[in-house]
Amino acid sequence: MESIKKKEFSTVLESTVPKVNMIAMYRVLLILPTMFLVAGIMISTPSGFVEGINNIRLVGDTTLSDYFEIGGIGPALINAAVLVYVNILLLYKLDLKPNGIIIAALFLLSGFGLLGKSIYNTWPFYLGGWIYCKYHNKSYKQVVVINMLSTCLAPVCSLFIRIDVYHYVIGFMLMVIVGAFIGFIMPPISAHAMTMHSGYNLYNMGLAAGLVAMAINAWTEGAGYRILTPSYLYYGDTTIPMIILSAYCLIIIIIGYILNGKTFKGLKEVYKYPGRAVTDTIQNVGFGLTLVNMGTNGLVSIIYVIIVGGIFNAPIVAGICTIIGFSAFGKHIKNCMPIIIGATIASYIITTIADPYMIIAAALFATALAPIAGEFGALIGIGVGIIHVFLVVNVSSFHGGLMLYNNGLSTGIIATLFVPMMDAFKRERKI
Amino acid sequence: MKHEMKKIGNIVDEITTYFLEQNAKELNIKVNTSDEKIEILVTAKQMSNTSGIAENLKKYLSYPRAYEMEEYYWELAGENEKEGLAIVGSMVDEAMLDHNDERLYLKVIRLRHKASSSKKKGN
Repeated sequence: MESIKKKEFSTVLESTVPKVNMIAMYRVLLILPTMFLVAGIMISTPSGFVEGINNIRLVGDTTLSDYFEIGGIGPALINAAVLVYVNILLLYKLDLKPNGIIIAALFLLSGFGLLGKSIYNTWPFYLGGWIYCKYHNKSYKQVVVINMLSTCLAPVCSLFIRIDVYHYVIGFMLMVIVGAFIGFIMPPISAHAMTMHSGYNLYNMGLAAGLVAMAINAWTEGAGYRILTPSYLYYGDTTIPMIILSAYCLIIIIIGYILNGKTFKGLKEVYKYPGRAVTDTIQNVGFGLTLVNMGTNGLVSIIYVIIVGGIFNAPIVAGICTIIGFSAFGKHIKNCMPIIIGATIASYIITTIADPYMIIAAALFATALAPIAGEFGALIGIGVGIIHVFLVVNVSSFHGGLMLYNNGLSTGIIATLFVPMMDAFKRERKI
Repeated sequence: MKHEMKKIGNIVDEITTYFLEQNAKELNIKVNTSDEKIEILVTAKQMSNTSGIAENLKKYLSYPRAYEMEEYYWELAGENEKEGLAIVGSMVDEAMLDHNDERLYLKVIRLRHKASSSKKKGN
């Protein structure tokens, strides 16, 4: 047997894309929460703010909880801004340089900070993650992103603050115990869920947390613990969120253009990647062009919502934020558009009764399946986009609203079935 | 560290699969372990497009070590194609490459220290 030849290596592999320092990247990431905060303060009265935040804190969150409706647009924007600020501070303190998944996680918090997540009902997950790291002698920086993503189970925390059943302190303690337990178990569960769809579902946490939520839903419902809570969806004027998002997308396109040496050269490179996990756009093309891609996809999503007659309530804003965030982690126009087209076609043929705005949001969230369009082509992408809309209107009954990434569960199921199915059609290459 | 051996196994799996998919006629992989680090040395021979393969490896293995990415995505290593190499990139601290028309040599190093005391490559 020949031993491997030892020799001096001529090339040490280091990234050749333009580098941007960590502080500059965080400054750019602070723009959206700052815009949320400034707008929130400008449109809120002090008393309206206190009442709105209190309503957000006490809402059950176990069904659709549009914070624009529950607390008002101003308090909802402030809630999301504070949530993102705290997470950015945490990441910065852990000395984590932003990469694709970190940016995606921050934008998920920006969007879902308007739709079920608050500082109050998410912090126990971080406590659980921290205990997990101590237990396994790991650094917390290894788990923090998983904690950020697993806050989609925030409604479970909210569920246990049942002031109608027992004293608030008992509810608070139950929330901490349950939330910390979930934060502790999610790292291995979410890592394992990844193998189910081989990285073709970008919202992997939706699948992992969805399975956990299904079990919790069955147990709590079986024990007679669940109560029916009303759904909240905002139907009023949403000009302010639309202006914020549009302005933000333009701003990051300009910043990206400047960071890339005042050129868009190299942007075509983004579209060459199918987008399957792990596709870190920052590593592939640099932070500047990643921002351009994020802004472009955000603007396309905004235009899409306007064309199909949508408004910018919390689910739709969350959908747009998610597209912007995951544009740093594999999404681009080429792999997203077929999915959105498919979901739009489905909206015309579906007979299941569903709120039209939720169908628009579903079309935006369906882009979690962008890697399938990127890998197998636009036609297949359109097909899975159609399937998603039909499935997503049913999956919330599986988990009873205890998990916020409802669309991620649906796309996870589709990708889990689809990947081996495509494999069945694929002929083995002759070696 | 939890799953450490399995992670190394997945890195080797990913690299092996990648070179076999590139039609390597002969592939030697050697794993050296010590208390400080794990070294994986690869020699692949007689591939049809060695320089193209080298470019691919340069692109993906230059991903900086990313502990947060590793914890979430490590089980995908060995399952993927090009994207799997990116996961390997985020799981190793150093990567070195050399090649000529006939052979390609690759060496990746994964340090065993805790994430908190790490010195990241590529940052």
